[in-house]
Amino acid sequence: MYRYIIRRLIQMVPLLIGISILVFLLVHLSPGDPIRMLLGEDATEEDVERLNAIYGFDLPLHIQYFRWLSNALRGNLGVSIRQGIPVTTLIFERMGATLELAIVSVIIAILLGIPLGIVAAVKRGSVWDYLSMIVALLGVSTPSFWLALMLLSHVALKVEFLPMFGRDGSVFKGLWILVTQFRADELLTGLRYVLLPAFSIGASMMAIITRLTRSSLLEVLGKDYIRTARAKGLGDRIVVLKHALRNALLPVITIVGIQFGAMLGGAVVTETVFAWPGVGRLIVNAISQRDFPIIQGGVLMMAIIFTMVNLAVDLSYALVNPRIRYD
Amino acid sequence: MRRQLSWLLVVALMLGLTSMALAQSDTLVIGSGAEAIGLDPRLETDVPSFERINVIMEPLVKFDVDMNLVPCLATDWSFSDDALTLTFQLREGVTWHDGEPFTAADVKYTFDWVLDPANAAPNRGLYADVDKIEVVDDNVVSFHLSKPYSFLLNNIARISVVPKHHGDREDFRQKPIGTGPYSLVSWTRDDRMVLKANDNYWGGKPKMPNLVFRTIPEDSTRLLAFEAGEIDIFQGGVVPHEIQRLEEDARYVVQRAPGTGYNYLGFNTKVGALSNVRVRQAMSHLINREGIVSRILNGIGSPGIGPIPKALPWFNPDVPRYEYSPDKAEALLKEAGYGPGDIKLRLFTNENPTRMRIAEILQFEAQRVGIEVEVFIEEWGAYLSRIQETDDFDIFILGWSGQLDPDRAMIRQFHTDGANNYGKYSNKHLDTLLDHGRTIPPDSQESIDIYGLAQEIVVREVPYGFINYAEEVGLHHTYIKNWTVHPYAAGAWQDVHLMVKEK
Amino acid sequence: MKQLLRSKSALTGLIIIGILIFVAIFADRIVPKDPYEMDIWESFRPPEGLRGEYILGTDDMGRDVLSRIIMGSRVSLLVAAVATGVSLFFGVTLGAVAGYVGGTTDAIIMRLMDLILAFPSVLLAIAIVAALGPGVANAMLAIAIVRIPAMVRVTRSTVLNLKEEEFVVAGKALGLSHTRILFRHILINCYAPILVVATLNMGTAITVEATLSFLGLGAQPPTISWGRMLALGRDAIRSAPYITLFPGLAIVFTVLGFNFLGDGLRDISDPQLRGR
Repeated sequence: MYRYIIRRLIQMVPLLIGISILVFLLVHLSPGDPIRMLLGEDATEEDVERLNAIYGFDLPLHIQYFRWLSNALRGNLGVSIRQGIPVTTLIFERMGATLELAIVSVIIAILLGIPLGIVAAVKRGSVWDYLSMIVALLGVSTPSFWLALMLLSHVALKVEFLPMFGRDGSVFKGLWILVTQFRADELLTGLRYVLLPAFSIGASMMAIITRLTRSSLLEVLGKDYIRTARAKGLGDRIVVLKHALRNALLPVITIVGIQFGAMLGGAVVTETVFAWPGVGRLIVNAISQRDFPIIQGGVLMMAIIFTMVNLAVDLSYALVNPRIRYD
Repeated sequence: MRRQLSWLLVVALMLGLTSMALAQSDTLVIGSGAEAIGLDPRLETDVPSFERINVIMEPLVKFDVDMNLVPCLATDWSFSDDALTLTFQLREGVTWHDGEPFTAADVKYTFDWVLDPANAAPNRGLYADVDKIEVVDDNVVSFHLSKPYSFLLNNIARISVVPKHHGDREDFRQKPIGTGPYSLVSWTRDDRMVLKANDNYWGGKPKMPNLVFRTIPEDSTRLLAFEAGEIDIFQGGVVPHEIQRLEEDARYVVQRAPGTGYNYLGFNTKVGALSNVRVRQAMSHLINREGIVSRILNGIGSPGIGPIPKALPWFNPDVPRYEYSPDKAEALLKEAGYGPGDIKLRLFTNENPTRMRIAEILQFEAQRVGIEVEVFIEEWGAYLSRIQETDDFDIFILGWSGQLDPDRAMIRQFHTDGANNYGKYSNKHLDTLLDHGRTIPPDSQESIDIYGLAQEIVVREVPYGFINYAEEVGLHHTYIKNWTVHPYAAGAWQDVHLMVKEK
Repeated sequence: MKQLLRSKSALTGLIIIGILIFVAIFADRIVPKDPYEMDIWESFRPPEGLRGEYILGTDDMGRDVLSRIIMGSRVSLLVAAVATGVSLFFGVTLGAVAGYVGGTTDAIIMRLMDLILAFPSVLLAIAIVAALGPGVANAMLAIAIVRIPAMVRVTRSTVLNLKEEEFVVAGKALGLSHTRILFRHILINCYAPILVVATLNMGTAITVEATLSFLGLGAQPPTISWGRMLALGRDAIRSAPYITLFPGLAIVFTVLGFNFLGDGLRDISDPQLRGR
């Protein structure tokens, strides 16, 4: 088990280096000059040149890259050109918001998607099957920014409980307070703010989960041991939930892992619409301002989280299915 | 059943508690379309940063809502007879938020810092003619110029004074200290900036104990948040299509004022058909200004005429006008020797919705007179880089804001050596006028005549096709009192200490 | 084909896509008005119904919304088809090679795919468009690149399963070339799961194009795309919701069509489910 984890961690290194090279090339080869963006309309040519030299943008690309890499290896992702703040600070102050949004979206997607999938599989071919599939498919067919705007103007404006924008409180901290101090106010505040953005991101994932649950459940239900269990006279509900679902969840977990990356980065538009202070917005603003260190550091951080989540997903297989072992 | 009921009760109570936290009568919540980059007036160049800076820190002189220069940290000022020395009398008894007194040394420190090339301050060019700053005594400071520059005062109004004893602190940009009506409490970037009243403010104790800036990038969301009562007021980015409804709603007040900027078509005057002045004039005749202002901007703004905003005394109303007329455009093209299908142009703009719409309209109008316009919408960084560093374009759509004097409105844009003369326009006569204009006292008739003539040249030769003048729109609930929309958004909240929330 | 018609969801999907293809092909003949013709003084006319001049109203520049939706079907279908086609081509080739050859080649290809997967997809698309310039072509390319890894994974796992099957082993024994075995025998037999992923990808491509348009980086004027209609109409979502509602529904309808088809194909291709 530990050897497996270590091997996976070692495998991450070339992946992260590859990503950093890719971002570096994308950023440096696309048109746009960070120094001119920084100095604005009143910039003088001398200042532009001098700052280019200070930031090392006049050096050959590979030297710039190795400089960046050697700093990054020491945990220094550089300083934002535009804001003069260390990139690690800028990322970490927003990471909580981004992770909270992603995790709550996944939870919403699972809470809605799996029951819909079960209903569709158990009542296969009935009206319920089609209904739940249509609901699920609507989630994946609606562009997320449109869904977000519709939710704002049709739901949030009418339901006072749901605020329009921003973030307040924290769901994680709220849970901790609830467990340790039996107060729910922090959790509730956090939930009020995260609910709509999380739903508008989670909708597409819900669709995928519903569909996967349905198909893998159908597959498992056709297997021999389920037939045996039924033959033994166990009730339908118990069979489905206890035996079939457990095995049907494997592919669902895999897709959750893969989609998590998309959630982290794909939240950009939703973060903008709901004014959610997350990393996606930071990176997109940095792209338009050509703030190279933020783009490089931000994408790298996201990639690290993504690979860690996938490692966790692979490990969790063993929990769901004890027959899988890692060594 | 009873257990379920009591749970419901608990939940309902908590909901009640949390929603009560929403509207607090001692806190003014201001919405803003973008986050500040930082809070150091020496380093920032964007309006959202200065919206916030101008609440915490103050300049020597400032523009009031009628765009007159009025005293702020300086109570009086005068030029010497040779126009080479500008002397300020500073306000006495002003203290920084930490209790230290504000003195002439702070003024000297601020401008010396900006002028030091080693600091690469982005606005250094604004003060390039300042040779030396002299502290006469604690309350008097003199700016010595290398050559006369009549509009220096306007530029001095752009930058707030930084405390000498804090200015070199590494985190000053995030945790500034000022003399303004509010002091910074906390700042969560991309989310909120919390400030509290400076009870020792020289202009009187602020009426509202707390002030919060909230950043909401999406215009529709900001409006919805306003209507839901989550923000009290905002200026800029009011969705044009909603203006009429908002103006008719008794719960809200819409305030409008002519702005300090405009949108324009920039022409590459050195390449291809557009190097011919008649073709540029034809293009200007194809801009449906009335239609754009009335339908795309829903009446916000007014049809563009020339480079100087109408509210400034230098505005020349007698320049030629290019009314929308495809017929005149066709005639001009014919005069220039072009028939239908002869001209192909590449138009660039960025992903700003209004500019994208203007691009589409122009494309359609041009195609009707046989000019093929190809539209490219580029991502902001790539777009700026194209127009600033290359001449690989025929037309671009861009805007200016903060055109507070004729020098700033023309010399960078239209002088042969102008830093922002992206279309490489050149006219020797105009260059002479613009160079001379900045040495003439701004309140003289000569100044008005010079810039009147300069405008005529620019409008006649069409380096720009002027589309529309901007208009500033502020929106607040009726319970907000004592606020007037400012023509320049950076100064929107400079009198925030007078505002009250009567709820 | 018979099975295709028996599956209700596949049939629904086919009908929807059939209608769309018909509309797209004959778009310029069935539009009630010129979709490009703008009359700025006619803007924001609400929907007037079938008898009215503007059936679904006019947009912010006074253009007929219905005609624009009809015309926009071309770009949406084009984006879906080309982006999916490109990712199909590269995905299947790479996946087949990875699965069949195995070893180092497999490892290299799969690590490359991990690289794309680990890069936040919308950000990758934005970065590609920022580098190459906006427009339908580059948007399609960006969407295609983002979707390649899924295609590679599916192809690879199917090929891995089939590699040990008797007919492949027999082919090898007969001395057939690897290329021939791979393309003639293996790929022919694994089209079903690939097709499923491809149809689902088509739906995703359309929504990603809309997202790029929201950021201003999708289709360029005068090209009409539903995504751009949504993005530019969003300012008026309160006062004139019809400007965004109908293109939004068009997107939902199309993506639903592709998803129904994909689901139906999956049901059919899975022999275990077939009889039930």
